[in-house]
Amino acid sequence: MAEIGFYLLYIGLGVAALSVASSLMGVFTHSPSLIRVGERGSLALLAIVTLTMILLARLFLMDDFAVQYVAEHSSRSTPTLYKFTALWGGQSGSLLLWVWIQSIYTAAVVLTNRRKNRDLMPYANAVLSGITAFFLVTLCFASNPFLRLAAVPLDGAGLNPLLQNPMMAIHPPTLYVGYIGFSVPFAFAMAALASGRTGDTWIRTSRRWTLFTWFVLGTGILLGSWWAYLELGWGGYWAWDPVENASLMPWLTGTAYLHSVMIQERRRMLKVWNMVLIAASFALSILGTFITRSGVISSVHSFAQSSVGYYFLFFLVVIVFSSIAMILYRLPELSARNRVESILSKESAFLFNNVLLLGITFAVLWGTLFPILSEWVRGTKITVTLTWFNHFNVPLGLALLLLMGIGPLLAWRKTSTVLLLRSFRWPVLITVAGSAALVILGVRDVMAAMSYTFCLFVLACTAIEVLHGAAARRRLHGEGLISSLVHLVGNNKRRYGGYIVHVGIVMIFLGITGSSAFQQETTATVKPGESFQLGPYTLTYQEVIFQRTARAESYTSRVDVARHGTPVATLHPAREIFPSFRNQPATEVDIYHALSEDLYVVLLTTTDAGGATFKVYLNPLISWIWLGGVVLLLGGFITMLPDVRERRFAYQASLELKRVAT
Amino acid sequence: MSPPRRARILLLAACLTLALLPAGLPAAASKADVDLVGEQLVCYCGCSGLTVKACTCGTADAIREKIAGQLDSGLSTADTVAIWVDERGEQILAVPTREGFNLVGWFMPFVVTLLGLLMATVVVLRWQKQATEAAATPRGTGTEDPDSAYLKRVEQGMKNLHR
Repeated sequence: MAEIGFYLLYIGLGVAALSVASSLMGVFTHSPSLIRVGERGSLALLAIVTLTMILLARLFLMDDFAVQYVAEHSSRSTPTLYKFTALWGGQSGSLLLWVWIQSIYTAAVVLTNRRKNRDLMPYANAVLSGITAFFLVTLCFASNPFLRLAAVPLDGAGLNPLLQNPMMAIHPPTLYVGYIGFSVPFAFAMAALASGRTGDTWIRTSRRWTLFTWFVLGTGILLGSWWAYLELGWGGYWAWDPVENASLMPWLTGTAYLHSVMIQERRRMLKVWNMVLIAASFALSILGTFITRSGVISSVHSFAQSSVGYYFLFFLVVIVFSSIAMILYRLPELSARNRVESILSKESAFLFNNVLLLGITFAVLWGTLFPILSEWVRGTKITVTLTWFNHFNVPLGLALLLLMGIGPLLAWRKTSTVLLLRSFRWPVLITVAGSAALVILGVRDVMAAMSYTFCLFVLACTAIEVLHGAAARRRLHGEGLISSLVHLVGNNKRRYGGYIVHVGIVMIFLGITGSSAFQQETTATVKPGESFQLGPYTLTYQEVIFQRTARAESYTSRVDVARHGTPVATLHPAREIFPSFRNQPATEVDIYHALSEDLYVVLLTTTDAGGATFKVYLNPLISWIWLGGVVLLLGGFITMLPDVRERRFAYQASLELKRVAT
Repeated sequence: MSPPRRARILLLAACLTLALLPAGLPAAASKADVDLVGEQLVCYCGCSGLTVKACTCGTADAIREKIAGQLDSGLSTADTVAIWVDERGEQILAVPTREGFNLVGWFMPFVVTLLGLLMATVVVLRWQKQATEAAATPRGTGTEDPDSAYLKRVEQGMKNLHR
């Protein structure tokens, strides 16, 4: 079976190459049949890669340790779910997963564009199939998951215990769907440049794909943060690890693109900028993959060092230089017809928003790569951690937050002084009152106070904007408040979905500020029956229970928790030791969740006398990060929904185009 | 002086100082001091890039114990950090020092972002000036370009869409 998989990868590579060649030849020879062959090749590729995935999954489920990849990432005692997720637990399997998702995207693009975008499709299909072909090259020649071992072990090494978590079953595939999704708008952008159709068609075609990608990558980032919070046991959720950074960077540039693309649609400006942003988003996705797989930067997420990194470096160089070359080639056609007319306009706010988003992206990239740069320049290795990243991203993030409040209230083209005063009168008053309340409540941390003040400002601006819209509907249609709000969002999902995203971001800022500026912690070594205190909580340690199973040895403690003397929960923080990873005990934290704070309990050690040492964190408002994430994703989802008015307008525009053409 | 030799001398000096100190000094390092050192050092367990203070792995436990021992021996928190840097190199520091080439690392993102904001401001203000001048210039009476007439209609449609 492994042999079949081994050769299927080579067949897939041949089909991908055929698809690229056929699509491009079809364009140059004006042959629709060759273009169709290219598209059918992409569909066939999906079938081949799907079969390869099924074969590898079957090898894992059958415990076929003759296959090196299975022996290295699974064992007989690995639970069935994790045998399945082990498929992407290592280098080769995760590359195969990447190819599979890439081929799904390509097939979906082909199927949804059978009768439209025929000028762009051959190029787009060639780019997408070319990307698949690159990944198949790495699988065939650098990291084949079907290689056999000369001596078959009796059991496998097992899956890294950190990856044996239900979240890990969905977090990596979600991130991959996000990363790879940027290949679709990238392919359409390249298709627009190659075909010379540099108008808005590629943007309209790829807008939902970009939104979907942004949505899924955002989900992946949130799931990753949540997993880190639950699993790593340090009380936090984001450590600015290079691979975490790698996922955040394309999401940030994708966010910048989703804003600036509105200017192109409304004012036909920033065409070059949008091309640059989408190419950068895709290139940053590949950079992330390079970072994970090359071993050049040490990370908790890194795969073993291998030659695959060089393949990705080469691919990254190809993407960057070909994108630059294509943009330069079409530069005259990409020049804007319009200009920003006033600094007090929505266009201008979007522009500054883009600069700040790119500034944050640069800070993250700089921090990720600076240790390498330092080693090159000084020959000295250095480390950058949370403090360093926060030094940049806290002020830049706050500036972005402030702009998030200002932008929606500005008008397109120009905001008159009268409108400016009218729009910002109430938000500013509310914010000033809120700031005064913060001072009275005793908030003395300057950054925290600024963050809460700006959050209030954004909420006030957003609420006033939405309420103005609802009031207009009530006047026109005589609707109730709820009904007018529902219709308002329903009739302009993109705009109001965007505002919901803003509210989600504000909630995330509230959570980040609360949990970082006001976090409390304590470490206590206690005997059974003894208590210790953190904030309003009293923790009473009762016992620790030792259990040994085929999978792991575990020490599970029991801790009773009371808040202001009232019992609220019994927690069971634990520590697990896996046979194949004895030097890497896994913490199983237990958390008492409340809307206002989390009590996060980690079992550090146990003693023979039955005592235990705990590390306990009190994380104020941390739940708001996850709730905000859900709201953000809900907003993102709403913006993706089909808009009847938008469709009607697109239909009218196409009729108009036909009329002008005739 | 090679780093290990310097570390040995520092440790020896610390031990001698401790031996000569009068009785009555605190016997155990305070947790606050251990945390103070721990938050300046990064755990080298290789699993997360967390500081020694934050990391919960066995390696971090061992480092914290060693730090407590060093502080117990009478070393100041700064000396303790210096010993760790001598032993493990600059990469044990959770953040790079603010000197020499590291300053480029500390300030570059701010410089780049501020330059970006400055450029955007200059460009927008120049465009604003051009727009003001164009608005002040009397328009020609020639017939309108059909393409721009179409664009106007599309823009009107977009306005209606977002109203």
